[in-house]
Amino acid sequence: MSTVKNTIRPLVLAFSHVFRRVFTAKYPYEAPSRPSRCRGRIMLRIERCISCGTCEKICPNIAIKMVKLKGSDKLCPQIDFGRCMFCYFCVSYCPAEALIGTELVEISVYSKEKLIYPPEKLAEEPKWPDLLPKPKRVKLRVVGRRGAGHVEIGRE
Amino acid sequence: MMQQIWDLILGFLTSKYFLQLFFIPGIAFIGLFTLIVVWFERKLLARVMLRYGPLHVGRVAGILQTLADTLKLLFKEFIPPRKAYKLGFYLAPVFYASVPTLALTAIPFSPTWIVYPSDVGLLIAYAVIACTPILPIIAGWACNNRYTMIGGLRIIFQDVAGEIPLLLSALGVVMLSGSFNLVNIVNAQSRYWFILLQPLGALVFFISLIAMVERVPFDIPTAEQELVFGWRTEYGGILFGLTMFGEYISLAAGSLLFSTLYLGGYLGPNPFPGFIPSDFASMAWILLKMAVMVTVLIVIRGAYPRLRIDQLLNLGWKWLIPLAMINTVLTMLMIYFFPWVGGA
Amino acid sequence: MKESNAALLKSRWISWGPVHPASGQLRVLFDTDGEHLLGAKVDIGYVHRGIEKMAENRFFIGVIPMLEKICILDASNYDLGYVRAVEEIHGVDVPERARYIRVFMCELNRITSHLYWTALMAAVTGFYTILMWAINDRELLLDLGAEYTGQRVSYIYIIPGGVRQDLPSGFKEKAFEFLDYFEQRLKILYDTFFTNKLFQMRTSGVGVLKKEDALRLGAAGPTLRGSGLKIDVRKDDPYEVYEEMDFKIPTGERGDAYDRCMVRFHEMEQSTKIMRQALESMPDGPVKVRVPWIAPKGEALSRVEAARGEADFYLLTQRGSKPYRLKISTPSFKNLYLFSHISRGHLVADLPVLLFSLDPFPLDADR
Ligand code: SF4
Ligand code: SF4
Repeated sequence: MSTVKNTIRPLVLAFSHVFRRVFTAKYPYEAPSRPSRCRGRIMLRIERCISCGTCEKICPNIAIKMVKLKGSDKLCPQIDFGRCMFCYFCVSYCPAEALIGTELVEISVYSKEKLIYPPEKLAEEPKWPDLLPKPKRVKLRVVGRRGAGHVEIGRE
Repeated sequence: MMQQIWDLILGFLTSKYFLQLFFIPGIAFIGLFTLIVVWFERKLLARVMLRYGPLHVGRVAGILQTLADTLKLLFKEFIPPRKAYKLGFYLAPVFYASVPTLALTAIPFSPTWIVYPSDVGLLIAYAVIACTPILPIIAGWACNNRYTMIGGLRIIFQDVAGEIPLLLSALGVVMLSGSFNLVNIVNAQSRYWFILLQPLGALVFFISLIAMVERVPFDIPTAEQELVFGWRTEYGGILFGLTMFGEYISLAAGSLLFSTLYLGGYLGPNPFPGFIPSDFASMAWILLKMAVMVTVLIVIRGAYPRLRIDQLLNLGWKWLIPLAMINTVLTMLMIYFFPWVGGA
Repeated sequence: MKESNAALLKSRWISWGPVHPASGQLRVLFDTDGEHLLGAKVDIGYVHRGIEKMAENRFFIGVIPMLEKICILDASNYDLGYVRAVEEIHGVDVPERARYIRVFMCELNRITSHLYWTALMAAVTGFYTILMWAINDRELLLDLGAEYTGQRVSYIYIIPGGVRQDLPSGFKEKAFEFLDYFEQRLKILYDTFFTNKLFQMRTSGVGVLKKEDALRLGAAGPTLRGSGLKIDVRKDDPYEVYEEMDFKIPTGERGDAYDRCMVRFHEMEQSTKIMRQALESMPDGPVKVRVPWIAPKGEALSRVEAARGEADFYLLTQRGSKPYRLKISTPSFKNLYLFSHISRGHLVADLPVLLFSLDPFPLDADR
C-alpha cells in the first residue's frame, strides 16, 4: 500500500506545482532588491580619506594599493575589483569612514584592466550599466497559497 | 494533353495520398509535432520546476525556441571520432529518426484515414517498434567509445525488459475486440474504452511503453550522470538533432498507439455533424488524446528519478510479464462469463 | 583477492571526471566488467589551493574569508572553528548574544549545505525537479543570510570576539515567516523526493557501510551517523550555546545510501528547530568584544560539527599578528576515503549515487 502511495504522491505533487508561483526573477528585467547591508561596489569619499593606509594593510586579497591622486600628493586607495571578494574589511576598519558600501554589484566589464578603479573612479556614484535595461525591483516574499516568489515592490 | 497532366497533378494534390504524405500523419504533422512538443515539454517541465522555461524567442512564451535550436543544430559541424566506423556513425541517426515514422502508417486517424489499412495493423506497429533499438546499438558500437558502447548495451537490456510485456499486455485488447486490425479495435470501444475493462493491461502497457520510448524513469541508455549521454555522446550538430527527432517521433507513435488501444482512438462526438467533416473530428479527437498522453508522460518526467538497469529488468521480468499474463487470463474469464463485454 | 588484482591489471580503467556532468572537481577511476564495478578509487587534488600555507601570510582576521572558501556552502561552520581557536589563544569571552547569532548562522549554513546536497543527489539520479526545488528553497535561507550580512553565501560575519554586527531590525519576524514556509517545503520535499518509491529503490541497499567499518575507516558526519553511530560534536563536546538547545541527533540503521540521505533530511528538520530556539532565546546585549591584533604565543585546537562532519582546526601562534601554523582536517577528505570500500560489488549506474551519498565536496577535501 505504501508503495502505491509513495509512487503516486510525487506525481500529484509535481503536477500541483504547475499552478504555483514561478520562483525565478527575470533578471535583468527584474532585479531582486538588495538588502540594506548589501556589499556591492565600494565607494570612496576622497575628502574624508586621511591616507592612513589601514585599508591597504587589512585587505586579505591585496586588492588595494595606495596611489597618488591626479594633480596632488594625497595618497588614496585604488581597488582592483578583479581581486576584491567584497569582504568589506576595508570598509569596516577605515577609521575615517571614507570607504562606504553601495548596492551595485553589476560591475562586470570586458577587460580586467577596467576593473581597477583608481581613486577618482572609486569616488563616482555607482551607476546601473547602460547595457542592461532598467530593472523592475522585486523582492523575495512568501505570499498566500501559491508559495514564495519574487514580487514587485509596492505590489505585495 | 496539358489538360490531362494538369488534372493528374490536381488530382494527386487533392488525393488522400498526398494529404497523408504531407499533412497527417506526414511531414507537416511530424515536423509541427516535434517542434511544438519539445517546446511544450520544456515549458511544462519548467512550470513543474517553478521556472519560466523558454521566454524570449518568438513573441508568445518562447514558442519559436525549438525552431531556433533546430537551425542552430543545422549549422553546427559534427565531428566523427577518429576511430569510428563512419558508415554506421552517419547512418544510424538517420534511420533512428526515420524508422519510427513508419509506425504512424498503421495508426488509424479516422475510420478511413489510415495510410496502410491492414488486418494486422497492430503487428505492423509492433514490428516497427522492435526495429528501432537496433540503431542505437549500431551507433554505440560504431562510435568506438566506451560510454557509447555501454549505452548501446543497455538498450539491449531495456528492449528485452520492455518489449515482451508491451506485446503481452495488448493481447487482452486483441481478445476483446477479436481482431488485430486497429480500426476494428477502435470500433469495438464504442461502448466503453478498453482502459475501463483492462486497467491492469493498460498499466503494464503504459509502463513498458515508457521503457520503450526511453523516457524518465527509464531513460537508462542515455543516463547523463553515468554515461555522459549514453550512445549519443559523440553526436553533434544535426546528427544529434536527428536522434532527438527520432525520440520524439517514438513518443508520438507510442502515445497514439496507447490512445488507439485503450482510450478509444478516434472515437468521440462530433459537435457540429453537418459543419465539420467527420474525418476532421476524428483526427481532432485522437490528437487530443495523444496530447493528454504526452502531458502525462512529461509530468512523469518531472516526478521521478531514473531507475537502474537491473531494477528495470526486475520490474520487466518479475512484475510486468506476470501481470500481463494475469491480465490475459482475466480477460479470458471475462469473455467467457460476460460475452457481451467484447465488441466482437 | 589475488585474482581480482590480476583482473584489475588486465582490464581498463575508465576515468569518470574531472570533466563529467556529475563528478565535480575530482576523478573517479573505475574498472568494469560490463556493468559491474570491479574496483573504483577516488583521485583528488585538482583544486588544491594551499590554504594552510596561505594562512601563514595573512592577519588573523584576513584568514577568515579564505577559510570560507574551503567549503563555501558551509561558510559559517568553518569560520566558527577557526575563530574559536583564535579566541582560545587570546582567552577572550564572547558575549552571549553573539553566541546565539553564531549558532543561528551555523545552522542556517547546515541547512543550505544539505539542500545543495539534496539538489545534487536529485540531479545525479536524474530527478531535475528536485534540483530546482531544493535550490529555490535554499534561496529563502540565503535571502535570510543576506538580510543579516549583506551577502548570500560568503558571510564573513563571525570574527574573533563575536560577530561583526547585530541582527537588523525586523529580522526576527522575517526569519520566522521564512522558517514557517520552509518547514512546509521540507514536507513537500519529503513526500516527493525522500519517500519517492523510485528514489528508495535507487538508494536502499546501495553502499552499505557497517558500524565497525565506519569507525575503523574514520567516517565523519552524516555518513557516520547513517551507520547508526550517535556521534556529533554538538552533543559530545558542545560549543557555543548548543548545550542549551533542544535537538535530536538522527541516525540510520542499515548504513546504506538511503539511511545517509534520511539522516541529512532529518538534520535539516532539527536545524530549523535550533534556528527557532536560537532566535527565541536570544538575550540582548553587545555582540562583540575587542580582540587585540597581536596574539600571544600559544596553541589551540577547536572542533566543530560542519555540515559534512567534524572539522578540526589546529592553530599554532608565535607572538605576532599572523598564524604560525594552521592545520585543518576536513570531513570530505575523511569521507572520500570510504568510496573504494562502499563501491565494492556495485553497478556503474550506482557510481554517482554512491559518491554523492557521501556528500563529497572536492574543494573541502583538497583545501
Ligand atoms: S572588500 Fe575586502 S577584498 Fe575587497 S578591497 Fe576591501 S578588504 Fe580588500
Ligand atoms: S580609505 Fe580609509 S582606511 Fe583607506 S587610507 Fe583612506 S582613511 Fe585610511
